[in-house]
Amino acid sequence: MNKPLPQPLIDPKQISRVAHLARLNPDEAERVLLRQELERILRSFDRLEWPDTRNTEPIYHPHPDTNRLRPDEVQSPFDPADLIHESIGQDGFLMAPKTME
Amino acid sequence: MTQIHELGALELGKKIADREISAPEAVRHALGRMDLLDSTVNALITISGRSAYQQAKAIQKRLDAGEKLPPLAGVPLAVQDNISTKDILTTCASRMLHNYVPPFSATVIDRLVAAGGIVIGKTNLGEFAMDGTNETSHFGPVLNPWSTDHLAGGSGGGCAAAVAAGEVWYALGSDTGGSLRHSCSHCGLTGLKPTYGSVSRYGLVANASSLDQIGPVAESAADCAAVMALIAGPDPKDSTTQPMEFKPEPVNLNGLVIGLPEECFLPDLQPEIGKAVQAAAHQLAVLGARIEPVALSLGEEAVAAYCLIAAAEASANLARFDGIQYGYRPADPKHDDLSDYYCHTRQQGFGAAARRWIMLGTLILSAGYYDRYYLQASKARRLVKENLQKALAQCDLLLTPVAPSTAPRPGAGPDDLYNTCLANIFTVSANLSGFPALVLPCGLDHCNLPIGFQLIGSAFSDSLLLSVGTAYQEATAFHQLRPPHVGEKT
Repeated sequence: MNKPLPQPLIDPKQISRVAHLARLNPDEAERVLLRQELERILRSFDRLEWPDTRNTEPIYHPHPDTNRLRPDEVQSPFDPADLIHESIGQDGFLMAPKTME
Repeated sequence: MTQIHELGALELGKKIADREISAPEAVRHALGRMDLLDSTVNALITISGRSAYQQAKAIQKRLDAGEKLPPLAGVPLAVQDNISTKDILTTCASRMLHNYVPPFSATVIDRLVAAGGIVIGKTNLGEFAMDGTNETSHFGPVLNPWSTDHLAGGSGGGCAAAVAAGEVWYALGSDTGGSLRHSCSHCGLTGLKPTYGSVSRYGLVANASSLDQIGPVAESAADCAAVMALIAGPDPKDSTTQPMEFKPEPVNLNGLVIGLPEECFLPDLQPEIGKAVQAAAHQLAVLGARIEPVALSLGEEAVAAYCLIAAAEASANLARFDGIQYGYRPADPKHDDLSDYYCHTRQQGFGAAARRWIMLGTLILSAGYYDRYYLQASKARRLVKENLQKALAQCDLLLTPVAPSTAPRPGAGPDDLYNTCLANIFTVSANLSGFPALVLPCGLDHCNLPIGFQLIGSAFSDSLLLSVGTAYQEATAFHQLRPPHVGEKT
């Protein structure tokens, strides 16, 4: 078995850091709830009797050897400008939000 | 006399081909059912009646001219609202994409439409297909046509509810940890989570890319097979798709070995589910299959690995939604900088449960947590796959329950992510390994709520699964049961 893991601890600073990485802006009440919930989840994981994986190679995909290359040719079936919703697009340009005075 | 909505998809397709029912008539009937029922069950987010009617008229014209079309031509279908449909809203049941109209269609849609399929509606789901009950939808939860005091299950409850309520004849949904299978089981339907790589994911709004798969939902395995025949196969736009042969043929169950993992019959499994699943195994034995006990650990580790991997991949996939090019834009006029704008947009655009998933995924991918959680989960994933392969080396298929209980009531589920994931204990292994899994109805509980069972096969055994499912349904009638009193307003 792997060595028992120490209890996780998420302090408020880590919640702020993760929220910034995730580009979220939770208020104080939500930060408290998130911290409690994430700690609870991590503790649940740590409590499990994980198998010994020291010599196990991780897999990130059901069929790890399946990715294939295709010719490097433009094949886009649509104009990216079509993605722009009419409420924020004008004459083929994107109206970006105002972020500076 | 059988009403149009009581026909299976293939049966309706045959009647349309034989010109006993016209394609526009089928569309009108579906729209009538939606008008009657959908304010109750809330299965649909968008109804594309006008374009469906235009397509139906075009198909009818071709049929009237004597053209022979594929078996499901003219049959209206619904599509889960996280599968892109050109010129039809695709919201993912999120405020973030409440106004998003894709300029392209998913490959599965292109293939079905080319074969005469008529997309008539987009179905409700948990936000970005991330929750197990569909209660996190921005458009409200989907109620179960069998009992509107219960949920249709999730995340893809809208697909199953639309078919069970007779609003459409089949649907396409996605399955990341069992959502398509759970909602089929809760609504008395047949549904396939195909082998990863057998159906293109191009145009599916990604939740967890290495787990997601698009699959059919219908009354019967034969209907699902007809849909798979149209959508399966390699797609240059999805490099994870594989060449595969999809040819379901009548199968003789004599000599087929079906493994029954005793570990599945947990003490907290609803007793009626245990009995119904055992009865399904007995029925398959009567048809000639040999039922053998097999060892298969379906421990919490698999669920934990799923939960971590799904959260990590979802946090990465949902990073693309920032409100700049499309989707939700907050009304606040000023922001300190662009980063501040992104944060506001995402905080307001995503619901609370989606934000929780994103935070968990971002946390375990960050320094100090990656090795201990994400890497550990990715190693456990290999063990889960090897474990399943080992069990399938002893038999042709595995038979398990789908869910520990029948359809839940609104608000009755656990309120934390980990315990929510635990409801997927029978289904996540198929997603982690990429193996196919078929759900078939096998009974009702004391509340008259449907019970389903699951058959899991080796990679690319989708044809065999559907053939065995068809053989089972030729000998049973559970798939023909209808929700009682659906649509009657009391």
